[in-house]
Amino acid sequence: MAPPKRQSNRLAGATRSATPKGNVKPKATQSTLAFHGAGGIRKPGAAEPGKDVKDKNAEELSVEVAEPEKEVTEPEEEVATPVELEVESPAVAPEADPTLPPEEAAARAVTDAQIKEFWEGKEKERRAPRVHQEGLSVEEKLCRQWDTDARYGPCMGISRIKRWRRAHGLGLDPPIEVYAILLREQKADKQAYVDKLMSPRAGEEP
Amino acid sequence: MADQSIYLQDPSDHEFPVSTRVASTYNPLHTFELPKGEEKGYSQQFADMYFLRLVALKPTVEKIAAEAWAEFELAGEKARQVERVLDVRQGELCWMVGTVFMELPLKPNVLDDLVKEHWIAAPPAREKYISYDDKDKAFLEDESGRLRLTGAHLKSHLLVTGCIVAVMGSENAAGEFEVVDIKFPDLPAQPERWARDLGAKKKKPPLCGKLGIVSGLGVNVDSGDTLLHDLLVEYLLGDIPSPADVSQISRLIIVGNSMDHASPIMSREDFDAAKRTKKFGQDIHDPVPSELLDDFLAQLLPTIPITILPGETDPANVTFPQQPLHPALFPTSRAYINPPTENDPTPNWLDSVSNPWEGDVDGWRFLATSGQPIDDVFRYLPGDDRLVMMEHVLRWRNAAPTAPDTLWSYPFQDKDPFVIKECPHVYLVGNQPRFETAIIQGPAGQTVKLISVPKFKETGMLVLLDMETLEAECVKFEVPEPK
Repeated sequence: MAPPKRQSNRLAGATRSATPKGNVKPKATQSTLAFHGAGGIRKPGAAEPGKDVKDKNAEELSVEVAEPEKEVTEPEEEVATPVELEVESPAVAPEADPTLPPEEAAARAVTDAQIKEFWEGKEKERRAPRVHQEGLSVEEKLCRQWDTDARYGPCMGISRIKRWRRAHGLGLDPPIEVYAILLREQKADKQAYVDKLMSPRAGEEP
Repeated sequence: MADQSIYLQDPSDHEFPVSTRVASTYNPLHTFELPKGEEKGYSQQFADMYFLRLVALKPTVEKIAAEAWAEFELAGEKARQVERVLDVRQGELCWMVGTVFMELPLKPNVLDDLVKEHWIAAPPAREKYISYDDKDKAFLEDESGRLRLTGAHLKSHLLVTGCIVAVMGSENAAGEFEVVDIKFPDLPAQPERWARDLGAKKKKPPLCGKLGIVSGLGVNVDSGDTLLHDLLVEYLLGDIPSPADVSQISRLIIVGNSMDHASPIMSREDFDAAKRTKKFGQDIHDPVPSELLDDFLAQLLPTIPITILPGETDPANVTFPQQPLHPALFPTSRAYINPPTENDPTPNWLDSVSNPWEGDVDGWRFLATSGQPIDDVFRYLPGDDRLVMMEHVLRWRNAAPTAPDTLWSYPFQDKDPFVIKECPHVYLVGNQPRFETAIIQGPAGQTVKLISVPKFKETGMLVLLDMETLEAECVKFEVPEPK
């Protein structure tokens, strides 16, 4: 009863706020942020969902936990721009949710400082600094280093996050910081940079 | 008038003995079934498969090699492990783990297909890819690179593309790796009999009968006489009085090639032949072979449960692992199959399964294939000793080592199901030239019965495997030629 009504309101509100900004992306390619609690029906900013809502979403959670990138979280995204959402994410970062797999919970708990420290560690292993990477953020540098790491298999033909999950499933112990970055990504199934260059759509604008 | 009491008699009350068939305990696994629909994608590369295989088997091989070569010394030098294939230094005795790649110039080449199209006479079909001269090369490969393997010791080992091995030796001046010793994963852990059916409950297992195994039925309209098939049906139904007790046969496994020339993708030879004759409607699926097979199965099904695997000439997908034959092919026998959408785990009396197939019959773990992987391994190795090849396939822990190199395969990305995780008790391979059996032993006390099943159409042999003792015998059906 109540859930469908709230959903329709949300969508209506979403379109209203999206149009002024003029960057309404089509639904099919809409990036999904994997907020764990998303049965699709929760206001961003609502810290504790009501008891009955949680029970209702319990089964959906346990089902959707396996593929968080496929969760439909359109309501949250259409309310704010990507930049604002990134800032918002720590605020809505859920407390330890027992239904999440442990690596995902650990990845969401990783902070920016931790990522920077991990990257510093990687840089110290080299004698010379990396060139041609001045314009990239630490996250992107770490992801590219993750792509070319041969221990976790070929990076072509598989998205970064799927590759991380596969490496984790095979017991190869991939770094949790990379998972943290990948979970915060806008586009859930981002390809490796090399893969993007080799693909037929390499000439398009990112 | 003659005595008419002998004619038109009432049905007699004579009670004929009715024997009931022994029940078969059946618990299949779905290791080789691919996901359906959208989850089955083909955009990935095959490099993932080699990576998955290496990751799955490298730890085991490393352990075996480390134990075996810990104290090894050659000319005062000890062997040490190198992490990557390219880390090998010249003249240093070392060992590493990688995938074998055989570079054979006679392997199928797309240029050969072009030659066949443009010239009248096609080059003769090659039975093997090896050419017995120096052009055949063996390489050891891992994620860093490839290293050529040489040495006289190499010839004493059977190697095909796709085996994960540990190789010890040193690099010589020519940049090639001279092999001193090779180690492979060997047989994995074997589950106990009845492990999956009874588990921890110490119930008494039921008494088992025999398992009937047949392969290469080759049913088709123009495939010659069906008298052999009729004899088989009558034998299994108990219509033929035979000294053996047919009611002991609790299940029939049909291991591939049940239909002849029924594959939707014609082989190269058939395609060339068809191009010349230009028959109308050539490329439409011919329903006759499946109808004939359906009749065959429908006669047997009411009394005996059947497991059927697809083969090379059956209407199933061409890539390995072949998916189960669809129930739509069997209009009459369909009543005995679970509908494909139903998620009922207990299989019905006709179980259409994948090729290769893994499952428990009467408690024993079976691994069965319709012969394609062994036929492909045959093309890489000299000689025709199929049992040796089957043994090696198990010891390499890879059900289809040459996939995806020369055996068409689905590009697996998450895990390679061909890696044998649990050692079977019986390894069945169908469509082989002869009926042969052997028992091999593993390092941890595993015993595997290898059975190579010949083609029924050519040899008329039905293999009977006693499920209590795992002894195999065969029944031969013959139609004597008129003189």
